[in-house]
Amino acid sequence: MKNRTWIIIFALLITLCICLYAFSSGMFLKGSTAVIYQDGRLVEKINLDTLTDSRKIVLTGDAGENVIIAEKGSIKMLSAQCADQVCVNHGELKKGGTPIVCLPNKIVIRLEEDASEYDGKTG
Amino acid sequence: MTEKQDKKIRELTLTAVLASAAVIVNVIESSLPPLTPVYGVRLGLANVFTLFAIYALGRKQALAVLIIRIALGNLLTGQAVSLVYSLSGGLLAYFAMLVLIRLIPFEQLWVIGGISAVFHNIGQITVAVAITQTAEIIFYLPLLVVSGVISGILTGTASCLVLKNLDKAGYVKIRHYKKLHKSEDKG
Repeated sequence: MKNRTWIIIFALLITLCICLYAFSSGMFLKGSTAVIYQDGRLVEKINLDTLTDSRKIVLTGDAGENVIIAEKGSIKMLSAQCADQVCVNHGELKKGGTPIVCLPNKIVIRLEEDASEYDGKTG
Repeated sequence: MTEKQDKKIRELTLTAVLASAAVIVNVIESSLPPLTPVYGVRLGLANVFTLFAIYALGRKQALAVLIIRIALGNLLTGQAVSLVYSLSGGLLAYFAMLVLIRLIPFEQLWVIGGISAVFHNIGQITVAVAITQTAEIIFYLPLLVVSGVISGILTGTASCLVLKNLDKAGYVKIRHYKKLHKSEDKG
């Protein structure tokens, strides 16, 4: 194929990806219950709307300690001992944003709906 | 020393030099601050050496360069988990390259770089989803693909230019891979 054809294919692919990302990011994190998973298992479930005092959660894994801080209406990764600090740089978990992910320690923090249901569809 | 032995030693030396250069580039790159807050968005400069090896030496040597680079690079910089991510992405991209070099002419090495980068990202994300058991991570894929295609095109262009000039100077000989199908039009 000609160079021009390939340029068009790559340009289309990039446009498609940007569109996909723009549309998909708004579809998630609508609830107000922060759910913390480590290694695919549920660790903690915190309703951010009814929380009154700030809570500190410390999780340990292969790459050291992760400190999560939860306050009324917000949750964030305060510190991590890994090299890349992606989860810390992610900042506060926002509605409609992407979940906080720590790949070295396999931690995922995301928002879910159904604040009253504690033993729902976690598996 | 026979000519055959001489050639073998030259090949082995070049493989070792490429592998060590790739490790160094990997270490330097990972010590730079990340370009974006998204995990996995990197320039992937070390890919130049895999592409270079595949055309200057051959498929086996390119695989050796890739595995040495990932194993040593992660030993020097990262954690054990990142080894799994790099290896899955790297190997999937390598197998994609094996097919692509027989479909796309050498002059369009930048296309091979771009497409194999997409496979690199798919491999990484699949393993990340499997390890964390969180399907949401798949929504990082579009972002990674955008950065991967751009950096893949850059690394592909870079290795194409280096190979062409070294071939002209007589230091390496560019290998030609047989076409899988006879193409209808010339690139």
